[in-house]
Amino acid sequence: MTQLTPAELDHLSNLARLDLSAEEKSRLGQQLPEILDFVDQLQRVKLDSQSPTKRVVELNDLRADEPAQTGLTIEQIAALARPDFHDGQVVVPAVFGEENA
Amino acid sequence: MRDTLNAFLHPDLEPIVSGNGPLSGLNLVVKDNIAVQDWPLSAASKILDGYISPYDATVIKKLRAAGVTLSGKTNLDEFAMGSSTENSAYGVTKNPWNTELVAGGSSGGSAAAVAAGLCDVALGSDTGGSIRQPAAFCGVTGFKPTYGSVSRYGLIALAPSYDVIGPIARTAAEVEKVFAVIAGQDPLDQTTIDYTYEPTAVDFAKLRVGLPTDLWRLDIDPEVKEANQRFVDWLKAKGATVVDVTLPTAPQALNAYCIILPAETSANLARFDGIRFQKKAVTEPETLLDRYRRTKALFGAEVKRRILIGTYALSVGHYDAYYQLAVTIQGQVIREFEDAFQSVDVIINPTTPTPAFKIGEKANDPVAMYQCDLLTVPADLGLVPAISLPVGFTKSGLPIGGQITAAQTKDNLVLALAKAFQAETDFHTKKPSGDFHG
Repeated sequence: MTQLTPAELDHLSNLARLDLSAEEKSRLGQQLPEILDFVDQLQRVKLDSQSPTKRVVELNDLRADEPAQTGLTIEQIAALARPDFHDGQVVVPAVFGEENA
Repeated sequence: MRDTLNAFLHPDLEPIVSGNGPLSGLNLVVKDNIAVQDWPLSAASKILDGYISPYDATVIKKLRAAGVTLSGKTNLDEFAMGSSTENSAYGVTKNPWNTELVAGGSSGGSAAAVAAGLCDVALGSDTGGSIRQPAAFCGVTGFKPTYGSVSRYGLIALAPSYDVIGPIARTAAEVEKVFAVIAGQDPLDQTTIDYTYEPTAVDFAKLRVGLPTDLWRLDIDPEVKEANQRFVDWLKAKGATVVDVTLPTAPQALNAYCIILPAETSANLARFDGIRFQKKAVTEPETLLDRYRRTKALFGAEVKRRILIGTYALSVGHYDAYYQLAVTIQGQVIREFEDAFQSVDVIINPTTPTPAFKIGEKANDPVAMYQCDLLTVPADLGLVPAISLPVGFTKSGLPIGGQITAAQTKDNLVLALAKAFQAETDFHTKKPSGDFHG
């Protein structure tokens, strides 16, 4: 049985930038080990001689970047996609907290 | 469109009628993780509440050019994560055959809308069975094409290594008509392959059918097994040669999928940063990290579970034991399909281990929910085409799905065999009773 301590769950949720409520922590603390036990059944698979595989889907050659031909202006996209716009720039919160200012 | 099953989201959308084309008059609905310009695109998530798509997915562009009428957007599990649509932030879709049961998922709204007669064809997306499993539960025909044969441009990513768009309809013939239009290479999707759909016919005297013993011996409901056995008997009666084949790693495909999918999705969902896709944010002072965390709180329980599992599998110390092993096992699943298709043309097995289950039955047991995809996931990892079609009913009147799988790019054989079966049987013509218009 996989163990996941409260400290490990906190570390994981911090890596994922997910804030969890006490109720979520209690539920996930039980469910995540169950899921990990389920996926651990993989250890039983007999691997063939061609293992390991690094990538299974071959990608086509990369094309050069080009502007998307949506026919929309930045203002129209702003109105539809609804980020905060000011003077043609996307408005975002401060990158650094006050302690870093 | 309004309905009594909660199959549709954004019920006030006005249908979009396109010009003349080969699909003129076809009433088509779209799973709400596929972009239609000027229509909402929610992925059944609160995090995209209010978002309007500024562009068309490639499949929508092609369907508009072919003349379809776009008549609505259908419900799904949030970000297509689930097997019952119970994970939708906008409520579960009910099964038209019995409204106490789930419609399946994640394309549950699409399958229910077809079964209820609310549209001709619905687009779904399949990553682990999300087209075929709801099609089986709702008694309709759902097709997962060869990976890369249909552009993913404009499909909200779940796990891009498996995601593929496909049609759900009452008949394989209707599915084929839509697939023929949406298939093909797209410069906007780097994983698409050089592919053009060409119909074929089945020569039963030469057809070699494989039954994967590794999947048939799993825990499958007896009525589901019997109906599929009768499908195999029909193939034998038509003159096909039926033999056992082995896919030794296929039963563990689901375990590998339960690592690779969360790993990919935990990366993909990082883009929902609270800036690009959301409504104007709160006014109180905040940092970028505050905004990011506050936004992610809008994800539902299953999405959070998968983000955490993915983060775990990709973190230092776990990468080799989980992610690398899962990808290695996928490579093995692909090779086993290739080997099997050296000796047979198609593989037959049930689509799902059970018929539709009760709403709420598996809601608190994530692993039990994942196991709904036990028999559909192998085709996703194998990147091969597979269809679910109605092959019978339980004594209590619930539809049962059978699955036909073929080698990569043999989509035409899968569809031809499904059409041949439907030409001689009437399971696909049965309709649930009732009026489901809202």
